[in-house]
Amino acid sequence: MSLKDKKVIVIGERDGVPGPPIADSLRAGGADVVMVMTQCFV
Amino acid sequence: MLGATDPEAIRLVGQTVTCGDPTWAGPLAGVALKLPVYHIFEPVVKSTVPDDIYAAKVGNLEVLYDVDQVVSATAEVRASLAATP
Repeated sequence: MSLKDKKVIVIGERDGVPGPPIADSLRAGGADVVMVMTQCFV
Repeated sequence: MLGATDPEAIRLVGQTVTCGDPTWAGPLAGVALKLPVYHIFEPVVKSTVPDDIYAAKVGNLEVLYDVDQVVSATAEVRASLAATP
């Protein structure tokens, strides 16, 4: 799979992996991150 | 791309953006967006990210959770998307 130029919505979780580190990782892999959020299910 | 590590949360968020909100409580109730769902811990995703960046940003969290459980819950959501007409 290649994420290059794919548009990605990031839904992170406060008690898991938050959105910003996921977005940074995916951008480094060439993805086009269009939305980042961090949810909290507590 | 999900970051939740609880299987139930993965199913809830995943189903919301594929088949529609399963709780019928939010604006996506009955709305099937059919977005493909992946998790940042999945090997297929991990392989697309440079190793040093992944290790710095996500790798330290990966050791805290049951990755197999996360991967299987995410695969389950993708399978339900494939089954959606």
